[in-house]
Amino acid sequence: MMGARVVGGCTRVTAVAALALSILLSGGPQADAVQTLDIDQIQVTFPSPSPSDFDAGGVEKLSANTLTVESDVDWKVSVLGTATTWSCSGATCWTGKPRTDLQWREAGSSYSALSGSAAVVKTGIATTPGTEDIVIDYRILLDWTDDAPGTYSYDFLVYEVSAL
Amino acid sequence: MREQFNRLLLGAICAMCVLAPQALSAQTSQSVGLDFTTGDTLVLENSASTVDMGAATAADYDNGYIDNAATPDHTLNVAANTTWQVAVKGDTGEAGEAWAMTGADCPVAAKPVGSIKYIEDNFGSAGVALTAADVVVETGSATASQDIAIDYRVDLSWTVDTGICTYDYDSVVYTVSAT
Repeated sequence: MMGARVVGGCTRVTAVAALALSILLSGGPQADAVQTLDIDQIQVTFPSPSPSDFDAGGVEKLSANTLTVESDVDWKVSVLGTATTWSCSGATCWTGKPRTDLQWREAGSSYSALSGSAAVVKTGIATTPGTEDIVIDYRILLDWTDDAPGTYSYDFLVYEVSAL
Repeated sequence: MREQFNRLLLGAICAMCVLAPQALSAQTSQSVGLDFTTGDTLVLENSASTVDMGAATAADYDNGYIDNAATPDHTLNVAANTTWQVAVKGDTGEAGEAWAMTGADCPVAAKPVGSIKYIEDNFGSAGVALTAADVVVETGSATASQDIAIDYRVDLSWTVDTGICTYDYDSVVYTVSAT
């Protein structure tokens, strides 16, 4: 009897295990999706703004980042800023420079202000077996009366790929 | 043995359950940092590079100075991302400390740069004599655009400014700097 129970238990356990394995391997799309997001550089340094940059209201850096998406399902890449303000150093620097002073766009489109909520940068269909690149431009808004001398940084820009 | 096999199988499955999502999500987000440095950024623009004071009349001599109808004679404009000052001097390095004089009947005595009096926003007061050293004209805080209106007078004397002569001084220099 002991042997029989053991065998029976083993059968049930094996069945559960097989079911679990089946769910894992062929279950819902979230478990199935294989997605990666790569980026060419994680630090982008702008040139020091010139007077004409201030007059123009901002300084731009084109093709500052290239995101590379690999996904076996339809996908979207979103962006958000997790801090509300920039950091700065310098005796008179502007500690209140807002997140929205950083603008982004996919090259060739219109700029959007960085938000605390995820904004869609681009959507696409499954890329596998290949990948898809997304070229990103940035613009930093400048104002004569606000952007006092100093070193400014924003380290909280986050890109994410997810299934559509 | 069978029990051991079952435990081993379940353990393997559970390990996959835990590890698989982490492996899939590890590269699905990327963080980027951006930075820039701005220094003292100052721009000084000038509406005119030459001011014609006109021809002196007997009334001008009587008054002790020559002015012109223009008000102001020219306007400076400042843009700055920090506190600033605008200073003026007569640049002795270029034109010396005196006016250039041309004509057959010019005075022998040099006409000093101090005969030029300047002041902001018209002559409500006597004005300030130009010197070879910087004198502060105006100060201010960060601004996208601030005008400074400048007027001039030039001292005239019946006994010194004699003869028929053209006077020219080309080295009134304005400078903006951070304070």
